[in-house]
Amino acid sequence: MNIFSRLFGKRKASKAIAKERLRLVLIHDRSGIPPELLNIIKNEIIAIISKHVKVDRDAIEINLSHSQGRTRLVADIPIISPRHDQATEHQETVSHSEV
Amino acid sequence: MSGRVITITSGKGGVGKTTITANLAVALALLGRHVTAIDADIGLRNLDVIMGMESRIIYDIVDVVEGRCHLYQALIRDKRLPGLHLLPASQTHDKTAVNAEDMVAICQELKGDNDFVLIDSPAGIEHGFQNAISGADEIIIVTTPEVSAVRSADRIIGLIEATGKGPGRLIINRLKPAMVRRGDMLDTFDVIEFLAIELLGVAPEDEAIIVAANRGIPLAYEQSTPASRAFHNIARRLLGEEVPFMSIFEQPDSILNRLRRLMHLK
Repeated sequence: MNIFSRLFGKRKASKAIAKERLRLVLIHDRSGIPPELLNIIKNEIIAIISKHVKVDRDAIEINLSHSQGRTRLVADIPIISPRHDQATEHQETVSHSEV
Repeated sequence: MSGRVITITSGKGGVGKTTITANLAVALALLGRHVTAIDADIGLRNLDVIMGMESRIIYDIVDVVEGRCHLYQALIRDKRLPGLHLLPASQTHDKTAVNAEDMVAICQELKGDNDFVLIDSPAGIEHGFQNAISGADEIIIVTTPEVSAVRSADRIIGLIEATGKGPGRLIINRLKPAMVRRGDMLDTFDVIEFLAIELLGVAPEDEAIIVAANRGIPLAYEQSTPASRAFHNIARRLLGEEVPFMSIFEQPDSILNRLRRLMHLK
């Protein structure tokens, strides 16, 4: 760590990593939705949507987020458009739950 | 006299519950209060060792519960402070030997002639923890500024709230100011922000704690080290005094402070 990074605190301190990891862990713990349950939910959502449209399975993101006192399940499910055969992104909030 | 029963708990082990129980007991006794410390970690007792009383145990809490002795026969009086006693845990029985009703009864009896009854809770969230909080009027949650300990504290706070004994107050233990300054440790504000609970005190990591444990003489007998001063401040806050927090533990580092240190002004 050189004198400038020490002076202005530019180095990516491990505290920032700790805060981010703790934030995510606490969202799961407090909502009672552990990552393994989220995975089950994710697979079921994919199965349902895949019946109707083709989705980009590798790019799907389903996460818990917490803001303004509410925990949300936020799903970003890119759909592969049959016309252009390329991924176009649709953000859908699949469900809201207050935990 | 009707004393306050305060349970010291954490969820995660190794964050300093026993050390804090012993030192708060000593600090409160030095302030003239009558204090009994209860080791609620049945089968894995340690408060006796930290308080230097391990060689003087005749009866323990299981003997009391099973009627082999009266409560007062099991209490060990501190050699230095006449107002300080320990009710040791059993080292041989398992944790189911004492139930919540037993604990409540013991606390009720001890409240009669103590200002404070401090209960050292076992780690975990099961039977032993539930027992330890069953007789409590107040709860202190101990954490360290680490991801795992804060996560456990969050879980424990939730469980305490569910019993209606919440929310409790927080002690952040083993904070390392130098690591906080260089951004490699969560600071007081970070921890409080996550846990959203009242802060009772912050104690720094202090090698003198290990020396004190080696000797079996809690650090709080003397006020010469940073951790000892922190314990005394916490004891005074428990008595309702407004004691300011030691700034080195709670202030995040400013650019000005970094500049000062670089120029050796500090």
